[in-house]
This record gives sequence, structure tokens and C-alpha cells, in this order.
Amino acid sequence: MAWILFVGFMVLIVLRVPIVIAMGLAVLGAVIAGGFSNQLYIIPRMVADGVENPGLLAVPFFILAGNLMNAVGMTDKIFNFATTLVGHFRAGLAQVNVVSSMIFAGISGSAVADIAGLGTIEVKAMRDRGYPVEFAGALTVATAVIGPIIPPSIALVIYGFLANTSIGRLFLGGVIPGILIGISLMLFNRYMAAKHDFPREPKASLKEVGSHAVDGIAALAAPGIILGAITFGFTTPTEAGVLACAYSVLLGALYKTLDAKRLWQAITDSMRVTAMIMMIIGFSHGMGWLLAIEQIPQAMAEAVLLVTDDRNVFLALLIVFLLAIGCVIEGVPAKLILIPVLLPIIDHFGIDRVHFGLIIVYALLLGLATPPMGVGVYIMVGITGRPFEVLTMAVLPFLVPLTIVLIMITYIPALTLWLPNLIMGPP
Amino acid sequence: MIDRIDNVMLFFQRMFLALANICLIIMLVINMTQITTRAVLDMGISWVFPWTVFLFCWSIFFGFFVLYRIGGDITVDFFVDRFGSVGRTVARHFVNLSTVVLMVVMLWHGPQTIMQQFGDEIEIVELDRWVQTLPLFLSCVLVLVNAMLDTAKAFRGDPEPVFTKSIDDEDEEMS
Repeated sequence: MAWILFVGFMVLIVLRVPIVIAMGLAVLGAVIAGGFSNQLYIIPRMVADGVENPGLLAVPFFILAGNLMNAVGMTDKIFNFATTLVGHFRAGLAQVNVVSSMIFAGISGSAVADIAGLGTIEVKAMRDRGYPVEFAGALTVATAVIGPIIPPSIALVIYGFLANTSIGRLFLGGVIPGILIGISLMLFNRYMAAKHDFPREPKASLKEVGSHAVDGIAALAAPGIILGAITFGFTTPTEAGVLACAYSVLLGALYKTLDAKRLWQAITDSMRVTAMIMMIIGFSHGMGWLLAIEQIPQAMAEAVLLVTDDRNVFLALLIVFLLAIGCVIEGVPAKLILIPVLLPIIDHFGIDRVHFGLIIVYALLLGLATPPMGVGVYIMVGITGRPFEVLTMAVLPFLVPLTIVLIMITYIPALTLWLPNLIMGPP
Repeated sequence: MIDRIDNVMLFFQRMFLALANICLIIMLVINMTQITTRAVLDMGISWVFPWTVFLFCWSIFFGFFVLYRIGGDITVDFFVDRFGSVGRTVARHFVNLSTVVLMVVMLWHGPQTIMQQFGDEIEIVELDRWVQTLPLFLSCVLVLVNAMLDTAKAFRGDPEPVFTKSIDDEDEEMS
């Protein structure tokens, strides 16, 4: 039954069936194969129950906050601010691309929002300054990975719900890894600049830096509000998302850039993404039921322990496995399938759930940039008009620094756990 | 006939989009009110949370149809594109057929789900749970019709809808 679930889902995805429908059909196939064809009524019931999920109420608000920031034109302001900061470095606009994504990540919790919001601006600017479009597109996909690592993060909210782990701790745990990813990509850009002689931008005057810094600080305040509100217990994660939305609207009012049409479009985009995520979760609710009946998590744990009882070997196998899964299954369904299966093993090895959360979220995120399920590459195909294969080849070199950071995060738990333990105390 | 049904679907698309968005806006407003009253008056509002959950469900369920109508779900085109226009046409029919199968199962068992929720009142909201679930099945009906309509369009020779614009397209439009 379980293999029908996994294989069926992957075959349907390959045949271009939309993810929500593929998840629903895979569950339907597994329910029938499991001999429960007289109980198909559980499918609509489980969808209804799966969506009615208070633990995930924050999701639409964090998506909306990012879209509102796009709508009020914060992406342009962030890009300009980042240009004054690092534009004069070697491969200036490539470094601007990284820094912009790091700042935007503090507002938006989604990699897709990063590509959709900043992608067009970044790729156009880089193309006009003589960068190959493929390089610009690939870098934009790579930097988008930072979005769900630096808080807020929709992926971490979903993980927190599935693993019953504090969202505040997870958000704090993402800060240092997010900065590390940014630094690794900047070093990689520096290396590429030496090979390709990419241009620098003129150094900004102090006056220019000062004027753009106001916008930059306005953008940087958002993660402070979100993290502060959750960490110090002023709000729930859902309410922190609401505050982030209110802050975005306030900025729109101050900058006079938010009209009704843009506001409506931001809400529509957010509703659409939320509906997709939540319907996947709804259909996968039936999957959890099937996994529990077949005792897959327990069987998986026993199988892993037969292979190795060494924590470091297990972690190595884990990241290889997650990278492979990330290539073929999109992040949300992958987490829904894997987290319940892997948690007993994680607990057995005494791995902190916050640490594991960052590992699994980040490893699966790299699937954004890899075929065949590279959602980030697909979006970039739409933006650049370049073929999927060309962009995929251009993205591959960026996986080297990104994977090095994954290994660091995996084997140095302090990178993830130091900050939450410092601010919130030991778990 | 196809165009007439398409117009009806467009009407429902706009209506469901408006309903889903309004739910999200109300969620935002009532939660902001909750935060403000708690901060200023040190007083929470008990109905905010259950109504937020209720509206969240409505937003998702109404949005489900909109998601399919405007092509919001993720698909992997890589393999199918290897087989050219024939592969894309076959895939289009297969996707529509898959959607029809799933929606028929959902709708076939929908009444049973609704019946089970009669009398199951949501605390504070004071509505039966089926009211919360009903938009899911309304969307399923529309997703089903939309998949069949797209099949009819494919047989008529209509191209598949494209939802994204590249920077080159934008440059052309600008010039």
C-alpha cells in the first residue's frame, strides 16, 4: 500500500498532473489497494479535517505579508538599498541579488515569493549590465533558498506543526544558517567574478547610502517585529503574521504605493498559494492515516537501525536521502510524507527537533533548483524565457556552496541551536 | 456551447475568488482587532479564534476552484515536453481525466461527509460543521466541470492557457 502511495504520486507528477490532484489520487489508489475501497468516504472527510488546522493559520498571513511587500514596491527599495551596500563589490549586481534576498527573506517566508517578487527586477538589472541571463536566473533561484530559512518561514511553520515543535525556536534557529547561505553564495559570486570579469557598480555616495538606508531599515524592521512578537510571547505565530501584514500595509500608506488594485492582487496571490498548500495538506491527511495503519514509521526506523547505529553515518545518509527526495517531490508533500516517518528515528538518535527541522527544510529546499521538480527553475523559465535544461545547467554550480552549508548545518548543531537556546533558554 | 459554459465558469471564478479573498481580509481584520484590544485594553476576544479557523477553511475551499481555473497548482512539464505537441496533448487529456476521477470520488462520498457533520456544532461560531465544509464540495463540482470543459476545448483545438510572462515578452509589450 505504501509503495502505491509513493510511486503513484511520483508517476502522476511526471505525467504533469498538478500536485494537489496527484496527492489525492495517490491516496485514493493506496486506500483501494489497502482493501479499504468500501471506505472511500474517508477521503473527503480527511480533506475537510486536514484543512481545519489551527496550527497552520499563520501560513496565509506570512504569504500575504511577502506579497504585500511586493505590492508596496518594497522589492525595488530593497534592491536599491542592497545596491548602495554591495553594488561596488566585484560582480556587484550578483552580490546585490544575494543581499536583496537576505533582506526580503526577513519579510517573506517563501522562496517562490522571493523569485516572483525580486526575480524579474534582479534578472532584468543583471541582464542590462551584461550578465548572462542564465547566470542571473540561476543565481536568483539559488538565493531564493534563503527565503524559508531566515524567519519568518512558511516551511518551518508547517514543520513545527508536523513535529510539534516551537515555531519561535525554529524561527530563531534559521537566522544563522540563513546568513551562512548568503555568505557562501557571495563567496561563490566572488569566485565567479574572477573567472568571468563581471562588472562593478559605481560606489554610492554617503548621501545615497543614507537615503536608501531609510527604506532598508523599514524592510529590516519586519523580521524584528515578527521574531520579537513571537519570541517574547506578545503574539502567537498567526498574530505575528497578521502584524507583518499590517506593517506592510502601513508602509504602503506611508510610501503611497498601495492602491486597491495592488492590494487585491496581493490577496489573490496569497489566497492561491495558501489554497494549494492547504489542499495538499488536506489530501495528505489520508496519507498519514494509511502510514499509521501500515506502521511505516516504525518499520522505517527498524530498517535504518539495521543499516547503522552511528549518528554521524545516519546524518550523512539522511542528507543524501533528503537531497534525492527533494529532486523528485515538492517541499510541502515531501515534508508531509517524511516527517512522521523520520521523527521516531530522529528521536532515537537524540537529534534535536529544531536542528532536524532546519536540516529537512533546507535540504528539501535545494530541490527548488534541481530537475525534475525544480519549482524555482520552472518559475525562472517563465521569467527569463530560457529553456529548462539551460537554466538547470546554470544552477548546478550554485549547488556546491549550498550543499557545503547543508553539511555544516547538519554536523554543527550549534549553528542552529545556539541562538534559540541563548534567547529562549534550553528546551 | 463551450464558450457559454466557459462564461458561466468565469462568473463562478470571480465569485469564488471574491469570497475567498473576503474571508482572508476578515481574518486579517479580526485578528488585528484582537491584537489591539489585548495590547490596549488587556482583553482578548473569544470569538476571534474559532471564526478565524472557520473563515480559513472557507478561504481554502473557495480558493480550490480558483486555483485550478487560473492555473495556480504546481506541475512538472519537463518530461511531457520531451514528447512535443503530441505529448502535451496526451498529458492535457490525462490530467483532465485524473482530475475528473478524483472529483467524482470526492463528490460521490460528499453527501455522506456532509450528513456526518449535521448537528456537529462548531463552538462559539454556532454553525454546524457542514456549513464550513460545503464550499469544498461546491469547488469540487466546479473543478470537475472545468476539467471536462478543458477536454472539450482541447478537442476543439484551443491551445492550453499560459499563465506566465517572460521578461522578453514584457520588453516586447513595452516597445
